[in-house]
Amino acid sequence: MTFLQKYWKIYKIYVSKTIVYRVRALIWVLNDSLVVFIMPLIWLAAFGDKENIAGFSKPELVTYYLILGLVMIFVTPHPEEKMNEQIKDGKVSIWLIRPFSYFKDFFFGDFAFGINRLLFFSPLCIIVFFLYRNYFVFPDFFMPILMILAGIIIFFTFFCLSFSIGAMAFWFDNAHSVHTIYWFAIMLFSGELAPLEFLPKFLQNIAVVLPFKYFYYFPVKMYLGHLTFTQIIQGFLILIFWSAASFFIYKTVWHFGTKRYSAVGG
Amino acid sequence: MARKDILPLADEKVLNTKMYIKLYSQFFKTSFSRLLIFRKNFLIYNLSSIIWISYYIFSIEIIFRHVDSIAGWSRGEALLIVATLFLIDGLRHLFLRDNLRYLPDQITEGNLDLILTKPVDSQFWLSLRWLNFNSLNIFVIGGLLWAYAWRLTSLNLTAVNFLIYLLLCLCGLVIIYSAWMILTTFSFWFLRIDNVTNLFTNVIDISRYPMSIFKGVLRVLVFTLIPLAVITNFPVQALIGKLNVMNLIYGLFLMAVFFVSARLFWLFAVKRYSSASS
Repeated sequence: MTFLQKYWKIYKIYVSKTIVYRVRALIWVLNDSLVVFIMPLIWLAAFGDKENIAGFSKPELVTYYLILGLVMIFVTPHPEEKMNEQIKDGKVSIWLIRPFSYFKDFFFGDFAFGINRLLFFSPLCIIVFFLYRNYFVFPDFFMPILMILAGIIIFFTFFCLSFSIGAMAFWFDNAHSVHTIYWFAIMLFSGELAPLEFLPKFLQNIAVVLPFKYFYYFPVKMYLGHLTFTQIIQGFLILIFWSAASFFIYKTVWHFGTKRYSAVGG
Repeated sequence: MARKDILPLADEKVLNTKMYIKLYSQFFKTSFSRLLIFRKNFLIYNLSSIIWISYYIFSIEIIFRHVDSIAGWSRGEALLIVATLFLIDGLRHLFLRDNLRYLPDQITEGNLDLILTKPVDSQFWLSLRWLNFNSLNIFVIGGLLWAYAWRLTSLNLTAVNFLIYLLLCLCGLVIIYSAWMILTTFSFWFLRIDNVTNLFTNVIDISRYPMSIFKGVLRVLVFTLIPLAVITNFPVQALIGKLNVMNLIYGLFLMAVFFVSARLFWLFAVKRYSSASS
């Protein structure tokens, strides 16, 4: 089989698995995006008579969360838990001797999940956007292309990092707390809780050196038109840097992890 | 030895309240010794829950950094809602979490048969078997937050208000339990809904906000089918003296409806399950 035929087969299997477990997929996405669709209501109530908070008007803040939700649905990968299980149970051994790469299997699987989620949730997103229509901000015409481009790079970067976190199972018995810290950092520093301008200064400073800012905050700010052309270019460059860095991290962690795993007699 | 000597007759009436209390104290003892054995888990658990607690407190504080009130609730009152959620959540972790979390797996893997043959009520056993003492830190921090938030409101605490507050907190716990139980009972029909617990927790955690942010259909929803307003907002309203009697009665009524529904659904599911597999 050619390269393409191999991975197309995996893609198809994952697509059908998703359809079979559609309820599970639905629950997963609701999990990720629930709070995000509620936040506009909270902020609208908080705004009261004010016109502007930290540089955001009401429509802008509402749209921030709506687009955030959309971005999250597509780019958020979830390999850590399954990996944790498989490594702990020793199932990963099979993968270490198969012709498919473990990483690529998860990657295409998750990517398929991402596309499926997006398709599956477009109707829901359209409904939610419609409900907030009075506050919706429309983007510049070239935004969709930029967003898709950014989305792909973000997914790759995010995936490499999450995969590395998943590989922590090679070292930690109960990697669950590592996952918790990871997701907490993401929630705080990616702009998921609130746009980074809303955070206290010292947290904003931390956010700058972490990659999470570019997972959600960067694409959404770009959409809103809050970034200058230079800032957009800068953002993409930093994003590309992080994609290389996280790929390197994944390779390193995986190398040492599988070594340790085999050493322990896996 | 005749079966009669080991166990009272398999007549359910014999397992009266006193025996249930005795049984529960046994649950308590074994759970407590489990805490002492798995000390490492205790530390890890504490770290995770401290992170989550900070997140919830922070998610309210971040708003109040920029505004003075949310939908008529002041900062102190809003933080009281968060503290109340911690209290109820702490109780949930203590009494229910270890049981209901793994119940879907037990159902789908067919491990229920042994429990269903016991004379003990299956719902009692499956819901209350294990207590989780790891959760005590949630109470500690919740209590501290509660005291701090109460100082912020600078109101007077009356005994009556406080008692009604506790009553409504318990009411909230029962509603959460019942809703959780109903969701879990669906495992008899749907496989692999183990991440339903995650979604459920996420929805409950929305009740850390004042529910008056919702309008229209959603507002009706949070007072009825997904009664987040009843679970956390009602107790705090009672505490600050803003709850009227009708709401109190409604809250208790809703609790009864939820509990009875969960019970009936469970009995129905077990009956079908038993008749199918025998």
